[in-house]
Amino acid sequence: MLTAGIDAGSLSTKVVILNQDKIMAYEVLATGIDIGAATKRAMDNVLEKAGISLQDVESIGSTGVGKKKVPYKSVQGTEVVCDTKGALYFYPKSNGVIDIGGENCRAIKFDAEGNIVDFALNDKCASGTGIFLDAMAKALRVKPEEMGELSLQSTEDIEVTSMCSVFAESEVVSMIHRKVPKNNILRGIHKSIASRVVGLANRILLEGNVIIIGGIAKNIGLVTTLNELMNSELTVPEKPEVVGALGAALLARERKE
Amino acid sequence: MTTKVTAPGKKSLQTSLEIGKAVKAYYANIKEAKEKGVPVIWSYGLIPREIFNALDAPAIYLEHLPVVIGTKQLSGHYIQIAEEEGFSRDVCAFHRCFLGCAVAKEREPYLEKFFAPPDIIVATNLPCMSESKSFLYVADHYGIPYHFVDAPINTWGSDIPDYAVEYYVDQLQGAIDFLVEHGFNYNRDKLKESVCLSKRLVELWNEIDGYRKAVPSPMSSVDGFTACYPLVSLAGTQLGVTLYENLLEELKQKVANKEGVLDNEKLRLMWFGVPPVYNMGLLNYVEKYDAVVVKSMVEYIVGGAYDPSIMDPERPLESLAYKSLVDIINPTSENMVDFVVKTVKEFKIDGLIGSVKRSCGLLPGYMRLIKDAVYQEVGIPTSIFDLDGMDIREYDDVTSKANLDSFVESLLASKRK
Repeated sequence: MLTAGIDAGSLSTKVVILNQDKIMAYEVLATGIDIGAATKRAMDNVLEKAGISLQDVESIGSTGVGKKKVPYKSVQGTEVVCDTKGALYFYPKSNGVIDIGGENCRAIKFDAEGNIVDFALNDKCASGTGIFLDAMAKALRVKPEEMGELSLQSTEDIEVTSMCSVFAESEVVSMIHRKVPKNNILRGIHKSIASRVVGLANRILLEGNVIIIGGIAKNIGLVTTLNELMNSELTVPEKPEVVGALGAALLARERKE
Repeated sequence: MTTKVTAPGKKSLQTSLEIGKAVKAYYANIKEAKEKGVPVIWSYGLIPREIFNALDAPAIYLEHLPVVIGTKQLSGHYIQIAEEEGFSRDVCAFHRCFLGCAVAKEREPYLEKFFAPPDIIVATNLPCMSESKSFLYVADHYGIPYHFVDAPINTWGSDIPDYAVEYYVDQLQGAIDFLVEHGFNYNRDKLKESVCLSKRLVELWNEIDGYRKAVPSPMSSVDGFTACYPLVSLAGTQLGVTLYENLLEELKQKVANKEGVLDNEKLRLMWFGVPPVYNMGLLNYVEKYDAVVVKSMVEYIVGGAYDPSIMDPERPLESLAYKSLVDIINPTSENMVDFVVKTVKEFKIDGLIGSVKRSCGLLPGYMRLIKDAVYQEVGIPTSIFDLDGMDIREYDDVTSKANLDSFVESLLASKRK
């Protein structure tokens, strides 16, 4: 059975095509201002990569903040449910997931049967999310994908506020003026985000085999800092940014069956 | 301040409409008394209402006026005024709301039906100290007398020692003496009668609760939020008793007919914390999942959770002192936690929603204890999220609904298995 999963996120749109249990193709695109158009573009691309047409897809699942604007008839699932399904696909022995998205961050704890035991979402604050990291990258004039490696070269532990991204940006700008090395600032930024994320994880007593997903999981600096603060070894799946979309595809398959 | 995303809660009971009319009549009577020159008291619900009955004293309660303001989505405006007066966002949003309303130069015509400026303040530290400070500011603003009733913090649970009851009786007597000094006549027989009616009110409330435990639920917490009004403002009155008798009859019928709020009830939820009074429709939002918010803890706060057998008309002040001290809002964690666990069990709750109002110095402190106790003792999960039930400016519809969606979906997924 061919199923598709769409994760219409605030910053990026992800689409996955699943053939039974195998990922055939996936696509990640910037969402921009038109979620419907971004989803359609991502779907067209992924269908082309998989060498199939939309008619071949038996069921579509959708998740993410824009799931209601997806221009396909789809089974909708919350990010919590889809993240859990996607995480268990990659790591059946995992018992929790941390998902750091563009504007959201969530920690989810589940049992061996995949029942969601508890979860915590960030409140309406950009601290601890991808958009915060993007703002910091702009302030420091570094590419987001370079932030992780650069922060690992830090020589000093410095503090950046974790309570407000606007204040954090002011703080970072003042550090730039004081000629604080970028590597150290980046390490402080990662620590700031990590402390918010760990706060969420601790709220639900998350420990054990936890995987980290979302595009930010590719940031080695943040993951390293999270590991230090959580005193554990988070697992980063091969395609961390598409786990939610994969979960949506799995949800669609389940409902179809 | 209004937003498109908010909606009033859908009520399903006839008695809710009657209670709504009683609310309007209550405030109309206060305004009428004011016009006749009777001093208006501003007070707090844990100063027993029955005392004001015995003094024929019109009283506006701090807990209720902000709710009236909030349900009309006006809270943001008055909270803003309080902030402009210099009150920090950390001050309780309920207090900021009534403070803003108290000092506002003008109020909406709708609100003028409910608002009567105070002539006397009777404040207390129960359940939170900041309330007495807020009242002090109002007293200063209007240049009116202020009396403080000091309540012992309950650290004993339901077994209140005699010395604590005696102390609080003295405090209540002090409030009566103060009001007599300011022109009111105290009638002890009326106090005894009021205690009798109060006892009957809570007996009826308990009977009502008995029917609300039925599956499917005959009454949602949207109605419950309205239904708890008599506990606060009509305790010790015949009107309160009559309203609850009507509510009881209505529920008996519904239960006999197996008529629920939902045709196909799948999940029963409970709300801990202050629900969004400016958007009670959020409690109906979960109905798309065939879930119903059966109960809210707010319904028990201020007089809804004590054993009515303690009410002895021959010892009226002692009864009222005990009633106030044992109230679950009097900060003894165990009382509140035990009560929530008991309610979750008896109402067959599937999930607990804990909304945190950051400016509250009291309820958020319970969240962790309650979450753990409910999970350990009943195996029921709790979802905790930030939601200021009074300050509409803090409301985020997308985040609130995302939390509810995630929670309800995870509960349904567990049930399906």
